[in-house]
Amino acid sequence: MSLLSIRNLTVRLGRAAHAPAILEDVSLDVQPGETVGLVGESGSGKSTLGMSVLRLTPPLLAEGTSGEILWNGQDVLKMRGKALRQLRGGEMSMILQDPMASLNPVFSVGSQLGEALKRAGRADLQAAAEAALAEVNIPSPAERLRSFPHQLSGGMRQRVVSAIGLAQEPKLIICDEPTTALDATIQFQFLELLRALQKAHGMAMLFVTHDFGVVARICDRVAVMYAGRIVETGPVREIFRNPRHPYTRALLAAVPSTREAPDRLPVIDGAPPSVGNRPEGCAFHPRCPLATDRCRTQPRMEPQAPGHDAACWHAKEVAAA
Amino acid sequence: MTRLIVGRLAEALAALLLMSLVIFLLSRVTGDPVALLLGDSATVEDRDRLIEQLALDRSLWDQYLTFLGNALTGDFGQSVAAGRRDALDLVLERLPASMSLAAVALCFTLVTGIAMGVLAAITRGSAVDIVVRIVALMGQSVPAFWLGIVLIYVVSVNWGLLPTSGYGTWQHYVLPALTIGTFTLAAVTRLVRASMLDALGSEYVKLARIKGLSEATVILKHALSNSLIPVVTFMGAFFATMITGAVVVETVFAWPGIGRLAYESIVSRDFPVIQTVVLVITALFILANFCVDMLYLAIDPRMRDRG
Ligand SMILES: Nc1ncnc2c1ncn2[C@@H]1O[C@H](COP(=O)(O)OP(=O)(O)O)[C@@H](O)[C@H]1O
Ligand code: SF4
Ligand SMILES: [Mg+2]
Repeated sequence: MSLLSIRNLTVRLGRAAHAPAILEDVSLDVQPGETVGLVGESGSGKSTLGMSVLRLTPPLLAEGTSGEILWNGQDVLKMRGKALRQLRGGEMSMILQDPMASLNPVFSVGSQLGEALKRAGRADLQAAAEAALAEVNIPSPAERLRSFPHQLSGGMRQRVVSAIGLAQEPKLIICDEPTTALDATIQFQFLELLRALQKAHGMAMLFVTHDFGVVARICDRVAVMYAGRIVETGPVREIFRNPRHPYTRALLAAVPSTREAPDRLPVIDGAPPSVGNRPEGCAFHPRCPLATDRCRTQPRMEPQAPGHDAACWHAKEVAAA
Repeated sequence: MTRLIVGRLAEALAALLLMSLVIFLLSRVTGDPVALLLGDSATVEDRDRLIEQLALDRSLWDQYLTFLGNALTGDFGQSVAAGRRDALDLVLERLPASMSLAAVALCFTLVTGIAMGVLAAITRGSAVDIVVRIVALMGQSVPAFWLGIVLIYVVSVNWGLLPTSGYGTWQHYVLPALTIGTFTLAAVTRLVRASMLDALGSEYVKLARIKGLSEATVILKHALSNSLIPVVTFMGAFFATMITGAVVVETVFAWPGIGRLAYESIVSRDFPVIQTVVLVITALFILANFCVDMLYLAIDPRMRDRG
């Protein structure tokens, strides 16, 4: 059984059946210990997906959420109160997109980290907190515990947020573009750190990014999102070698460092459609070089190879191109 | 941080000194100080004594230093109306009534305002939220004297539930405190509701939830602590309305505080008392603002690292 199994998740802006949808019919599985990349341009709904899994979306979106999010077979969307709290932190955790805003400005690092460690039932909080900061490579941890968020650099805050996310040793951690706010060298260090921690704790990771370079470095499988839908999913090597969706190909072509990436397709022009303005059928068709009349109806996810699915009417032609 | 506190203290002292200069100049430059300070029934001896006492035959600067020296020893002159009583004594005698009313109004305002603001924010869009918002809007548009009179008429005269005016028991506090506090109560409610909504949508509240903290901890610790920062900022303005409100409310409810004293001494043109009331109110106001600054430092760690 999958650790996490998202089934037909749809998130609308409100309860109404015709309310604009941020996510439509999203299905995705994460196995224990696995790293799954979630890739897509900004606005495709990656953060909303991550937050839905932990039930962190604002009330409007929460009302408009349907489908199933199964955690060890239990539907997270039906959990309330205590069950939800037990899920959060201890079972599943998340590193939010914005490290600058993720720490509470009025409490010290020690206090905010301590809250998580306390829930994990750690006895010697001071020692546990120092160890937790040391694990994310923060120098002089005892001193940093007394610091307030505004006294730390962006990279340092991101490490503190990660330490808090990992404090209760979750089985799954969702990382929402954890490196975009950091500069290039720190980004690299941070990715290495996350990878090492993941191996050490044996946890699964859902890694949200818009950068295929990062996917190549750390993920086992990848899911590509466009305009609120997953359009292609499969093992990372397979997707890099044999992408079947034109959008995936375009994203790969935009990555300078990947040797295997086919570069015959030009980098896609234009911007993704905003929520509520998504075109009928395949939402990618206004930007797609292979679009035909058929693309005005919605393609379904079809198997392309073992474990490799794509939603494109012309997937076979992409392979041949 | 010590530097910051010392700086604020110095500012407070400077403000007080400046205010003493303003009050001094008001009594010297506008008209005849002897007439102002003595009233109509003074004798020639009284005049001569005052001229010597205040150094009125010397330079303005000397006069100010003398005034300041007298003030520092607690000598603000004598009341013209209330039988030559020491002006400072008169004011200090009235202070407890005003301070206790202010304290009651302050507690009522903060506790109720914060509770209603939090309640409205966590039930956003519900009937509770709508009722709170309407009440708050009304509270901010009602003039204090009108509210006071209506409350006396309805609660005391018609229903006979509470005394109409006066001072002494806890029942006497209810209507004046309601009257003084209503405007700021409404303002605090709206402020807390808005800042709670911001906080509840913030990333740090999400992180608190991710940790699996209880909803009570998330709301009352993580969101509320941040939402109180604007309330603290607002407290300075709050004291100003409280003081101006005190004059009206103490007069309406015959409350024996310094607000009523200010009104009485203006009516009887008792200049030494007016002057003392103004200085004491200024000192209180400066003290209150100093406390607000210190509270700010206590609640917001970002402030501690400035300066
Ligand atoms: N609370 C909300 N109200 C209205 N629109 C929202 C809300 N949250 C997200 N959206 C919209 O949903 C889309 C997807 O957002 P997001 O999940 O943050 O995408 P990503 O993380 O991929 O950039 C965006 O267009 C965003 O404007
Ligand atoms: S379905 Fe059509 S428009 Fe959509 S990606 Fe495939 S070819 Fe392009
Ligand atoms: Mg995002």
